Amino acid sequence: MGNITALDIATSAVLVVFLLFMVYNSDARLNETMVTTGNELIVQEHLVNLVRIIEKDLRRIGYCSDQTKIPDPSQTIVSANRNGITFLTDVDNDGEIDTLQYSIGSPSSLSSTPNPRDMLFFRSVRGSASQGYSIGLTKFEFKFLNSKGDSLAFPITDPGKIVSMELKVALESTHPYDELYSYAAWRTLRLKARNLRER
Amino acid sequence: MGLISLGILSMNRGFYANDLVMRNSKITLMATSLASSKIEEASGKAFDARSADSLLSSTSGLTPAAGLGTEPGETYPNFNDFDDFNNAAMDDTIDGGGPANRIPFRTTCRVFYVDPGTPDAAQPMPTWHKKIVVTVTSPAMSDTVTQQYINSYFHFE
Repeated sequence: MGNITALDIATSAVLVVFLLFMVYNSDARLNETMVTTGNELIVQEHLVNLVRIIEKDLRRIGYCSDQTKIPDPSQTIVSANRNGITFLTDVDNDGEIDTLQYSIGSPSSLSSTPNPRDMLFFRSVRGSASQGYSIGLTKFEFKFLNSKGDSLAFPITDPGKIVSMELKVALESTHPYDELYSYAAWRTLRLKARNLRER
Repeated sequence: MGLISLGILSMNRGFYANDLVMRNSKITLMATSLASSKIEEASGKAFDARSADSLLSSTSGLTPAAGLGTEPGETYPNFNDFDDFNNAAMDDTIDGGGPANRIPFRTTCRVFYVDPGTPDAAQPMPTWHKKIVVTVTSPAMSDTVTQQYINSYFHFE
């Protein structure tokens, strides 16, 4: 009788250990899922919002609601490099030409996030000092093409030759889970601004 | 014990479904970017091979509906007009986060003439409106992404 009781207790103890282990694992998995799902969602939302803004802005290169002020198409892009562009447009649709600049910071300048690859994103209107957006941007690369579809080499000395552009954007979560960062990419946003087309 | 096991099994099933949805959402985003890029690229070309260098004033001057597609010697990406994308298929691979996670995509395009009144129906005769339907598939994606765009011909004299 005494032996049976000891065996029962031992079996129960093993089962309890198993149960605790299963509960512990489930709790860890639940935690991981919550964090990674949140990270994935944030990254995807940031990516979609960023692309939406960029698409809208880049499509309106050279646009002005006051047609008498539409800039010379060959002067519309002020400067362009691998990681940024400055161009003329009518941002707020008020009939006045504005200068819009996209640029990024360096990964090392964004020390407030654990991700070593993310950079600040800047969108500056009319030359105003732009606050950088920390959205987990890890890639923001332009490729500019001329009227023949050939890519222009950097540095671009004559932005007037640009007729279309490609952009690769990638975002990662600013914080990792178990040293892994969530990732989302928008590949080759190929834009041909209407106002750059005919010249 | 059995109840707890069932509960944990059910939780794991939930986690798996959640992962699947998030991954599919991420891949669908990439597919959407590919489809948008192809439409942007196509819409930047001339409306028709015959309008690339000259103005057209009659639909009889356009490429016949049965002849939409590449002209001899044309291969992607060196297309010169919108309908060159008809029946074109392109393969792409996108970095899904790390070298071991490269996701293959296949993009196929179809171009046909449409009438503004019935934009979904292909017209047997040329009109001033061409529609492109871009379809992106991937073995990693459970669904297909399709985007459509209508390109119209107009000019100012």
